[in-house]
Amino acid sequence: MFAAIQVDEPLERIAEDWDFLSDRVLSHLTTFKPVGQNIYGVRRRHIGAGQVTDLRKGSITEHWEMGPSGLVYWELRPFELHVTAAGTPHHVSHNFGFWHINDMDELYLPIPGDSPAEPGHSIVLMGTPRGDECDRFAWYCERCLTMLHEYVCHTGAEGFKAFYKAEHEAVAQYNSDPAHRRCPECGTLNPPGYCWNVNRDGELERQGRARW
Amino acid sequence: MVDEQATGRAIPEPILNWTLRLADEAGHAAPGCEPWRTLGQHDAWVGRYPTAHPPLRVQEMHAGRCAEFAKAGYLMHRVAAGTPYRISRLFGFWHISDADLTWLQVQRGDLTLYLALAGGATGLRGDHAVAWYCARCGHEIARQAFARAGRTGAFLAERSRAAVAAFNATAEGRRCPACGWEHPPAYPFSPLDPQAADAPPPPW
Repeated sequence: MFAAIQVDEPLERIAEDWDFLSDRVLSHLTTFKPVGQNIYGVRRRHIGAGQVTDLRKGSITEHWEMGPSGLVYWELRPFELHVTAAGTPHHVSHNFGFWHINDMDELYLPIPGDSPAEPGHSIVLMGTPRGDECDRFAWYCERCLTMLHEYVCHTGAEGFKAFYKAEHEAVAQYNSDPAHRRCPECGTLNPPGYCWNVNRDGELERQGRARW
Repeated sequence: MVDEQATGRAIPEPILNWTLRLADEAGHAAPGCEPWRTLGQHDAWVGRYPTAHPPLRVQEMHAGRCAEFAKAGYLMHRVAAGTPYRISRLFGFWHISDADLTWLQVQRGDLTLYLALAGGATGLRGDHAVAWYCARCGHEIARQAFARAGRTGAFLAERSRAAVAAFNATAEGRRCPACGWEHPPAYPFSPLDPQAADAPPPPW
């Protein structure tokens, strides 16, 4: 109905990244990119029934969330949107080696490819933190869930650009001394932490990624 | 029990029913729509339309011109808060709100899946407005603002209905004050009803 008043210029002039799933824009979303009120991440991954596979990390299907009563396990399922509520410590096995606690909800949606051989789209979306809203990197004892270490990143005040630097510092700090990984309650030596980005893995981080 | 002492913050109970299934694992689903759901900081709506159905398309108004963000297959588009937008054949008015909207389209076989996610930021006031623009010259014909009117899903599905009825009340109210073009009647949020499969889709 609005053909007579359709914009003349290319859509890219109206909104530069108007389709997040186009090949050009996808390359900017392989990590996370804040756009307006949300932060978007879209990765091409093999998504099948009961299995989400990253080419470099292996299976990243297992999601863990922590509540007052202990751990809850869930799996990424094709075409199912899952919301991890703000404030819930969550960890994705072999994907990032810490418990992420953010003040914003985090939404996961795996869309399989058009054929089993074709990678699909693993979509992650979370609100953009503002003001005193933070991201936290935490470690809990794998045996008794005692908190071992926590690092706070003031992403609301500093902007999301501070996230990856803080993540790197948090992991380095945690891994710097085995005493950080030793549980003061039960004595368990916990595995090393590691960053989301595989390229940051040293030997210790590789051990951690393989383990949890 | 989880140790909360170090962080000093209470850990909430995980909410495992904050899930929404667009289709089964093979991408199959019966045509139809889910009602809007509030999932924490976002509102979500799912539509499953036969591919033969005229596509739902995001349209935005920019300085009196209409931009339609459409393509076949996969699409994910963000409508910035404050931008007048509509989804063609889903609701017959332009919506303006203080929440971003993320629109996802996935075409799978004879089905097109749509997902709308509204929100993201905390502390939004829930300000909304509905408007109509002249399809001949782009002039704004009518607008009604709703301050602190709640979440996007409930607004689109329910609270906007009164504004639609008011706009439709007289032909004169639908006439463009700039060029005299008469806007066709508006229609409220109208998701696909599989029980009325023979009914024609909304025309615009």
